[in-house]
Amino acid sequence: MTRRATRSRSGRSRARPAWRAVSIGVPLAFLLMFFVYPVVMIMGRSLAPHGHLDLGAIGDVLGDGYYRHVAWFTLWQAVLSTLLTLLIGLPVAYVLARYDFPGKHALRAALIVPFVLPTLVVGSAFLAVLGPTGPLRSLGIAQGLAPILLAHVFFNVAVVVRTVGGMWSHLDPRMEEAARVLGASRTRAFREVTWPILRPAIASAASIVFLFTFTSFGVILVLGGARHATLEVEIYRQATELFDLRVAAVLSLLQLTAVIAAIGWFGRRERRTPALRLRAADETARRPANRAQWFEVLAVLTPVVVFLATPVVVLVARSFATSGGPSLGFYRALGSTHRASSAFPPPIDAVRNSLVIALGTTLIAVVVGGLAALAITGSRRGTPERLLDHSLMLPLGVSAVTIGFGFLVALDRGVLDLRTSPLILPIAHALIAIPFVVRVAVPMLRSIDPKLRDAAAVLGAPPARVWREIDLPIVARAFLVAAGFAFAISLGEFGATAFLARPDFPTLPIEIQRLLGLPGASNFGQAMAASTILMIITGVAVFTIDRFRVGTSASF
Amino acid sequence: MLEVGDLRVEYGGVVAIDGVSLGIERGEIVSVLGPSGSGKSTLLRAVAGLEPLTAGRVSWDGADLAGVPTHQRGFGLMFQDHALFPHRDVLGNVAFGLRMPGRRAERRPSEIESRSREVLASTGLAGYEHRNVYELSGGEQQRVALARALAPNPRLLMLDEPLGSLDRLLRERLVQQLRELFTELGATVLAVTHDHEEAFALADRVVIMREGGIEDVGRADELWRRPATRFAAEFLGFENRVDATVVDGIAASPWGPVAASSLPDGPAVVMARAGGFRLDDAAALRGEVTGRLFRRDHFLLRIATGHGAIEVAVDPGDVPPAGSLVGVALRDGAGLAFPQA
Repeated sequence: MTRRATRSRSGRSRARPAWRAVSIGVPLAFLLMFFVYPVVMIMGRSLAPHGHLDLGAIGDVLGDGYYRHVAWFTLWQAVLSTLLTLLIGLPVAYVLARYDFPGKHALRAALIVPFVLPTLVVGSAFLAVLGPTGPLRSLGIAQGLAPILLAHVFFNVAVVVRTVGGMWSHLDPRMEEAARVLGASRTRAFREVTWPILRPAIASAASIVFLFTFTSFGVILVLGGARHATLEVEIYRQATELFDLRVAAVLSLLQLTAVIAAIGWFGRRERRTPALRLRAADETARRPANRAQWFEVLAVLTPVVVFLATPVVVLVARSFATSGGPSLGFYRALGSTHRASSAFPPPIDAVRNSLVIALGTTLIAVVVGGLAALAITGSRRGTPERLLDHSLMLPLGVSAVTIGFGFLVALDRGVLDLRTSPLILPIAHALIAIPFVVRVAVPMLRSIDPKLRDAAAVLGAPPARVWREIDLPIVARAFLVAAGFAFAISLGEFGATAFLARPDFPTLPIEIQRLLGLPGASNFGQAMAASTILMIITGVAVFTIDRFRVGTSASF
Repeated sequence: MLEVGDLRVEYGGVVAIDGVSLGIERGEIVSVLGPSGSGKSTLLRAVAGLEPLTAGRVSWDGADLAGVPTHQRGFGLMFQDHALFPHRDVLGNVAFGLRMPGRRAERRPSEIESRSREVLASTGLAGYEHRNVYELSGGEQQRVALARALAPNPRLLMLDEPLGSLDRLLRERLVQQLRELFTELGATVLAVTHDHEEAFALADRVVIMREGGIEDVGRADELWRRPATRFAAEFLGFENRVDATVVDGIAASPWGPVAASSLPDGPAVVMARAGGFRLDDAAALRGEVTGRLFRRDHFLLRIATGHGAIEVAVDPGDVPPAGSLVGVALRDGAGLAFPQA
């Protein structure tokens, strides 16, 4: 053994060139083939549709009032959604950070449920509540801007509560008290002390919510109706219904530019106040001391809990509400084909399809993402590793619709003609899932204290044994959690799938969308039943994830 | 002056303060001393208006402060761990209270700045105005926190473990400087601590708290020499104890007679500090030296007598070796008698 090898900090010889090539090369190749190439093709379609640079297409689109309106609508529904989510989420974050009460932890865990629900499930749930047969149909907001905003807030409250709330619960309340003793009223103390310190966390939450709502697809499609379209929906319509790929490409480019601009704008506001002395979360929370404080807690939490629970409850209830009273009628109907359409498989097949695709996705995402995570957290931290780290986050900024569209446009030639391959959906889903896989696995892998390896080595364990005893348990856990994430993401994916799924091989979200589009109570009921099934499967996957996670604090 | 009457504070089912009454005159420095959980921090917070009262009242110059919110009380509070604002520099922290609308009208910015600089200078931090607070050492942070509390000229200054986070040598030096500063300013001060030396060095009067109530109170030097209860005595270092019997106001103990005029006839306990004994070959009490501990300016001898082991402080000059037989006498007035249990 050379001296350099013995001095290697961790005792692993991960820096072997063959391993490096594989662990960096495979993810990068995957990214290049399935992300960069399609995106370049999209740009090609929009900037050079006939082989040479021609900005005419862009001019046509931007000059058209309709598309400008779509772009404008996309922007301001996202802004409105973000503001509303902050308005509702911040008081909840405050109450959960500052007060301790029975059931608080269960509530915090339950708050994340809306966030992980597939978009089609949420769309169905809101239709169930606000639609022509729902308990709130008298409000008359079954479709349009109002239900879109409500659904967006429903999804994203968890982001604000977790991100801002996490930071808030670690802030020392004595700073605010010091300000109050010095003469600041409660509002002034908040303004002068707490707000400036919370601002970066709020900017971070706002940026996430904005990006999610800007690129929102399933919700808009289901709840927006014919009159409201965002860029995402318009790309979809242009590509799959009107077959105008050129316009779709230009819109994709516009979308990409807007997302990059937004990330840049928010990024500047996320700079953190340095070296805050943070307190442990359970030290800063106190039981409400008097009636007024209990009132504060209940006044904030009750409406929010009702708001978040109602759509889910109504959805499940409607799935059992057959015309003859509560029964499993709709669930049974899922098992048979619709009378008139022999071309469509029974909806229950979609469950099997979704599970199969999710398994495929998980396999690909864990292998590719896992390799990347191991490379990033390995003992060598050179330029290739850093390049990998940053470029793997790119697919997050690009919407699922763009990815699906990109596949459609790019993967149509020769070796890469995957349009009819059963692999296309797992690959597309994996592309979306890999950033999450990496983001989840990296902190867990990093949590292995190198001193533990040193201790094991001193106690006599050879390098392979050290790896088995110290690294493997954590690595195995990290991969389990990442697999759960990939599985859940694939189950609920709709944006890319809408482009790429074949009619005879639908996934569950696709099937739900189809059922929602058909008239009649039976079809609607079946959509509710299918949504409930999807919700349960997703819930099980997410619940399993949470059991195994090694804690990190404020990030997801 | 500050008056606290029959104060009771409960939260979360716990009684933190149980019937505390206390008065502080203008210009007086009072220390509240007690172990953790005795309720002393809660007392400060209740006076500042940060804790709601379950019963009792807090008043200043006769005016009841119930219903007066924290930011209008005109008190100063220096927190344990300082609670400095990380997003403002030193001058920004110190000037904070001066920028708030208070009982005095808002000042002009130039006045605010000059007053802040003045206060910083008086705490020895001239030149620190634009430093970041998180870059400062513990002692410097403590002084910024002090300057911040002093700048708006509070009518009562409260300190919560003011020297808690500092190392011992720094503590001893700073407590002296603090007392000098407070005396010079004529400040009315209520300081809370668990550290004996800090409490007695700083204050004119000391209050001992225990489990939410006041155990004993008195002028610093008097309380130190003659604590009124057994708990207070144990807390203040009366570690040696021996059983005794009281007859006609005198407690007869193996260490000698001790005055006990307030006790009824019967069994009692006599207590003394290590420094309350001296070695005396002619003394009746004799014992064997079983251990010696070096304590910088004295030696602590562990001596086994026929009535239990005692600890005696001895000057470093002439220390008997372990195993030797010595005579021990109780100094005049050093023994205190208390009821049994």
